[in-house]
Amino acid sequence: MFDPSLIVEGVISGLLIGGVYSLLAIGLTIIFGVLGVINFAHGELMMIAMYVTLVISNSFQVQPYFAFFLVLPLLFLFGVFIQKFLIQPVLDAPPDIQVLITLGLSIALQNIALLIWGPNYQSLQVSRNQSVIHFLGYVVSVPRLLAFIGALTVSGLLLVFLKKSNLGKAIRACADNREGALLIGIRVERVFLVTFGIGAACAGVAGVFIMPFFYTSPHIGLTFILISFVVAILGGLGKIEGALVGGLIIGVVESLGGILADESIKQIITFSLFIIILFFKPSGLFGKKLR
Amino acid sequence: MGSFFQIEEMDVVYRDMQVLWDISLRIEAQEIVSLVGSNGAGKSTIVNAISGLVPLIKGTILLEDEPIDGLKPYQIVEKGVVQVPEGRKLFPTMSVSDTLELAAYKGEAKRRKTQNLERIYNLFPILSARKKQVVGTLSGGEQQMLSIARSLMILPRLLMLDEPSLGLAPLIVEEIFNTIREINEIGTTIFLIEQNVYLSLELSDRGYVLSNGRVILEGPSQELSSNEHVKRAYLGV
Repeated sequence: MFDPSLIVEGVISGLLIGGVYSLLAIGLTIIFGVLGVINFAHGELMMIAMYVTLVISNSFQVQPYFAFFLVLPLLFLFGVFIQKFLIQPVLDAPPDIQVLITLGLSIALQNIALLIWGPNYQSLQVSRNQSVIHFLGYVVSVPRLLAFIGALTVSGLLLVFLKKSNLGKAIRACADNREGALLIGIRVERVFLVTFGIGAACAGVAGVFIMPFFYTSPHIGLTFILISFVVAILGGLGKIEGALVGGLIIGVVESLGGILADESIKQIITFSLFIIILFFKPSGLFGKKLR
Repeated sequence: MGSFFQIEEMDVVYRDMQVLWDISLRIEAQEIVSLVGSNGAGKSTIVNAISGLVPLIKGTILLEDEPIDGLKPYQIVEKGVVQVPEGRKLFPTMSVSDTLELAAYKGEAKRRKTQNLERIYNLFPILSARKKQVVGTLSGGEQQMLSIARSLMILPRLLMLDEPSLGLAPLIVEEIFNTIREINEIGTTIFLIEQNVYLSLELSDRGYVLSNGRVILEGPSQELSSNEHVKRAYLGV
């Protein structure tokens, strides 16, 4: 049978990549929770961040982590821009209009990336950090560990911001009841701008942290949008804690699926578990009970 | 010099249907004015037009002779015109104290937050006891009190209450109405929108009767309660 240490290593590696999934899905879920908009361009936001990381690292021959300081504000502003000029005008329109807009944006961004960077898979040219550390006899990849720590730190800071700061509370108020927020004088349109900015920045930071051990291509977003949908729905759409836990679960399941079954059919296991959980908890792990 | 608050010849179209015709009303400082009428008469639309949630197609709304129609909802709140909405519109995942503090997050309300909070907890002791509780777990009466308290945190000059008695037990309704009177006694002007015609005419100084989007009667509340039409249509006597 299987070597048990292989399983443990699978769980560790799954948890580590799961942290990045969590952050990505938090971005998706906060946008949905506050604006009620499903951002189909979320994967492309991550793709753009991955290319920006690549360009910075390759042009200046620096470690990719430096890109964090540019990608975070850049993607935040890009998110604000998307909200202001694409989403805000159709916010009161039926949901299918919003879907078309974000879907259209996703296709446009893919083709812009294709135009600028070409169709090939690309990865970092700086000497890759292949180092590992040994933890209780198990091998842990350092770039993955850094990605995990980075993603969870950003997620944690975001949670604290939402719980403690006035702006964070205003964001939660808008998610809870938009009209109630308007009636106590909250500038809801501004809160929406910030929210889309935060959501986009989450995708951006996830892109920075995954780049050291991944590759990018104009269509890489499709891989990640699927994962982040699964994670966000599993956790309960709009629930940030749900996306956090959901990301770790999906990371581990995917990783174990690759070990226990064949790498090529691991997604069957992921989606089967997804369906089983939704069968018992239709609104997700952290979602409200449906009657 | 006009009234403290005035609506002049207002028409409102909501969802492609005209729902209000030629509405004129006035509220003097420190008054309690009630707006009564049956379900669907357009009462809530008047309040929502004042709050800037629904646009006017004709007429104007004046606060101390300055037009406030056309302002954004947050600007109208900044002017001190605050609504306690029908159905409360609270934030179910937030705590009671977070809800109250968020309402006082800027301006004069922020500067006076601490003393205002103390005053409100005195006015609603039950909310003080439930400070840390999540709003979604409060009872209906407690939620209505929180909704009023949330608006008071903004230091309103004109407090508009839309159906504060809706869905509450008679004893709780009486408590809420007593509180409204107390709020008025400390200097807040009140605009009370109610289906409960008897109670609101008893509490208010003057009243307006709305039917099918038009003001059909107005006058001192006592006169209205003895009006034959009001008796027949709303008081069931």
